[in-house]
Amino acid sequence: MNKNAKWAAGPYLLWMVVFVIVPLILIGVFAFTTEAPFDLEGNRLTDEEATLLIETEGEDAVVNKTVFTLNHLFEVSEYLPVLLKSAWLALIATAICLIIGYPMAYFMSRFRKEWQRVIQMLIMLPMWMNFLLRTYAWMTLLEKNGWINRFLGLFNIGPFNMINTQGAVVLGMIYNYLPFMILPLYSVMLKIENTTIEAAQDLGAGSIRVFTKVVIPLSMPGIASGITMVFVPAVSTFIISRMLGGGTNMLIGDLIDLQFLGNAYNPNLGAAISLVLMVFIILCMSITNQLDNGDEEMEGKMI
Amino acid sequence: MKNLGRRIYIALVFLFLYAPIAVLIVNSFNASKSRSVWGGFTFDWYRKLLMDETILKSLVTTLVVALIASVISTILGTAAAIGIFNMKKNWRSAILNISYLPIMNPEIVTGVSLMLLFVSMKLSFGYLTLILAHVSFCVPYVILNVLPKLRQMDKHLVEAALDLGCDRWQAFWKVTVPEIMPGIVTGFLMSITYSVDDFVISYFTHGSKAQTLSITIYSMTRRKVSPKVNALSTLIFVVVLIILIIVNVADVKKNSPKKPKKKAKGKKAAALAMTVLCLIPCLAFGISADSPYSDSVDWNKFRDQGVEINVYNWGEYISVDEGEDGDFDTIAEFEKLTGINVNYTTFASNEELYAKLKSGGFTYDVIIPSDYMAGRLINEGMVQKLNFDNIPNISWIDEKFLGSAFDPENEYTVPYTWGYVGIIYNKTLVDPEDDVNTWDILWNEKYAKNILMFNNSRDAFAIAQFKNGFSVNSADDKELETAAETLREQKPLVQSYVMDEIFDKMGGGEAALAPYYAGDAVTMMEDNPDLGFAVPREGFNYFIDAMCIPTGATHKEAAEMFINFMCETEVALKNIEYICYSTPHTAALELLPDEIRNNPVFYPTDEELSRAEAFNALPKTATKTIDSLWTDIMSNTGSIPWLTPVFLVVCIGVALYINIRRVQKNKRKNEI
Repeated sequence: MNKNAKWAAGPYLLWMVVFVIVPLILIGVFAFTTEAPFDLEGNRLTDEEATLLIETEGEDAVVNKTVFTLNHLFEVSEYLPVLLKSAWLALIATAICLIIGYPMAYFMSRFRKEWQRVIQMLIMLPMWMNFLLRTYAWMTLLEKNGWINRFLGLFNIGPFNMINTQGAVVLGMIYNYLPFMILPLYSVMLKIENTTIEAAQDLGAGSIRVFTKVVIPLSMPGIASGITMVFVPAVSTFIISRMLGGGTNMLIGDLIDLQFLGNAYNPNLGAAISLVLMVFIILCMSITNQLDNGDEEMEGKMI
Repeated sequence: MKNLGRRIYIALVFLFLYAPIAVLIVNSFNASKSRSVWGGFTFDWYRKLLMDETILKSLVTTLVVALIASVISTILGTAAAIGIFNMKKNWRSAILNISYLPIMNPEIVTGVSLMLLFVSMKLSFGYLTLILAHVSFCVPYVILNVLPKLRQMDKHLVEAALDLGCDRWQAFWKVTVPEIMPGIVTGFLMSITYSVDDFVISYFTHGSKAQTLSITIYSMTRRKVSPKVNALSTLIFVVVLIILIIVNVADVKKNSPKKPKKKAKGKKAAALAMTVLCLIPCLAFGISADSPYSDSVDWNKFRDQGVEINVYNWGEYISVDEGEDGDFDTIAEFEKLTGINVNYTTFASNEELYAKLKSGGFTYDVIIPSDYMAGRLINEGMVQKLNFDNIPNISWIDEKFLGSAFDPENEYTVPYTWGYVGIIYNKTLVDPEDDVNTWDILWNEKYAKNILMFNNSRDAFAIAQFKNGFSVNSADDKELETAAETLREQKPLVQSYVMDEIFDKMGGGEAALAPYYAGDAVTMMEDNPDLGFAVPREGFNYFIDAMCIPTGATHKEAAEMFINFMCETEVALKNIEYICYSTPHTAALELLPDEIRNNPVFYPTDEELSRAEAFNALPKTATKTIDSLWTDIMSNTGSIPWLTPVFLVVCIGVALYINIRRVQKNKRKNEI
């Protein structure tokens, strides 16, 4: 409409550079650098030499400088198994979310309009309760002396050991991210007209064939965005694993937290792990994008 | 029949979604403090909620941040959407792809990257950083919602308006804005929702001065969530439910064909209601009484000057008002006495304190690290010398505790409490035949998955070192390796690595054995009479926690006044009674009841204490070794150094391949 209108994006572009691009570059910078001690003539010292020099000549004899290094990246290798474990748990959680969410979204989309709104509202409502509290409430349910074991105890079943297991972590992921699977699925299901299904049936397709040849292909974009929206937060979660996994099931998110605000302060290593995580996620998203051959831009994906 | 099956399925999904919420709501009426025992119906938590300053303050912070961030994001995002819409296609998709990064990236990466940015910009963490961070993840949602509305809009409308004599501004305000309004409102609402619900990004960008509700709840989940929070979330739940019902009823009633617009109206109502909700908790706090504190100090020196100090302490390490008679609220008393505003926040381990200080974004005026950490902070120049003229109450502190190895001249620290580590065990779960007076019991396979362990490196290593007969101050690589190996052997037996969570877990009978601090053991034994405490004969760690002032403190003198206040006999007494540690304060010790003063758990005999060993600050290299060994133990992994580069190359390669193929495929499609 108006050529000058594009300048309206100016302030945001500036914002984007400062608060989106620069921070990501900083992660790269931190991942490839480290603080190393130097003496006053500019010679690199080892840690032992530095301690020695400080002892003999005082604090001022050693200056710390930032230097390029690949060491952190090598260090991350130790933690790749943690990344793979996180990815594995997140994958299970995503699969279960899809299995639970798919029929849910389909049923939802076939209800009367008023009911659809109510159900949609009821799915969003839990998101208004603080997510830490919801997860904490799961602790109350799953503990050895928790509600579920007490309930089962009434029938002399159990007690089961549910908390502090990988299963509990997966459950926490499913619980917290299930709405992110249902809602995008629901929005594509809405677009599948009943007439399309009827047409398939008229042409002789049984209900299984209708499902595999019509419903699933048409809901592919929803599946793709649902998977992304569950998998990405699940793989990088750090608090669910601590609360429900008891700290023995450390995930990649915990590892990053540990390096920044946790017990093993090392932001450079933390940045390196974040970088690896980011690349891994880009890969995963490229794969899920394959599922969806639709629009080139991502609009409408996020509900 | 088919419908019945569907309904059951949907009902089951909702049962799953709402089970924990039912737990929250039920527990908000539960008179018992325990989460899983019903102690009768009560409204008490709602009453106490209204008196809890920390929770209400963080609620206000959450809402203020959400509101400001959403308004900024809405304006910024709408302008951006209009701009982007008018760009050439290539530019448009490039910019869109970048702007979606904050929502497509893992939250933790966004959080960490913003934290690094703020640290390098030398911004101090607080409201500003929180709002900036929230805006940066809210804007994409606004763009996402406004852009489609611009697409749907009939381009000729604006031209028509221009033809009819509007200038460009008028056309914009009278035509474009009303057309895209539903998108703007939805974007605003989504921003508020995500901002209120956000934890991860706030966690990395909040400061001591601005804590959102999520952060406050997070610091509670490490110990025990107060039922007051359940009450609060029940209230929020009810309010949101009512808003949604009103919105929906309004929509259904109107039921007109022009649905989007009506929807927007309902949403506007929701936005308004949300704003009102923001104002609810702004309640007044007022208290008054007279002062029992020493008059040699001019407590009023900083009154009415808007002075604010940040105090950073261990969780549950100061007397607070829990709504019972006779409770002493240390912070409120200090604020009342001096007119200085206190931001009180807590940490769970010395290492966490160190990380926060070292990262540079957090300003604290008073911190309370343990001996070895105080030593490390002194060595690294991160705390400053105290002016003892402002802390005359140092004279009450027992000489025995002054001039310890970590601060030999006693220039930097004022001891707050002391204590030692022993084993807490549940008598009903531990075989009476077994010897609990040894660390070996924590390696006993009989108690597999029933053992809790320290979730901090230094304390955990110390136990392994005692077990192996090493010194806890050893910097010897081999000894540290052996200790790490010992801890690795223990890992399969450990139920959970805990710090403050231990109160909840031992108190609730979730585990049989755990090493912890003697003072806390007494607190837990009061909650759960089945618990016992044992002192291992191999030796144990003895510690002093001391108050210091970090180098970056903004109000050193006010901070010293706080430290002096903490050494007032009355205050020291109340605090030590509350936290149940042992006190170095001579006058407070005199005033303690005999059964505490003579209780060997609090004040062990000199003979027992002779087996104790205190932590010293370790050389940097040893600290590094411990940190990396600890990370290894927690993530139990082996190492192949070239794995990451290969992994990265493969990931990038595959991603590139997939995307290039996709682009080519699309091109071919377009050609056809």
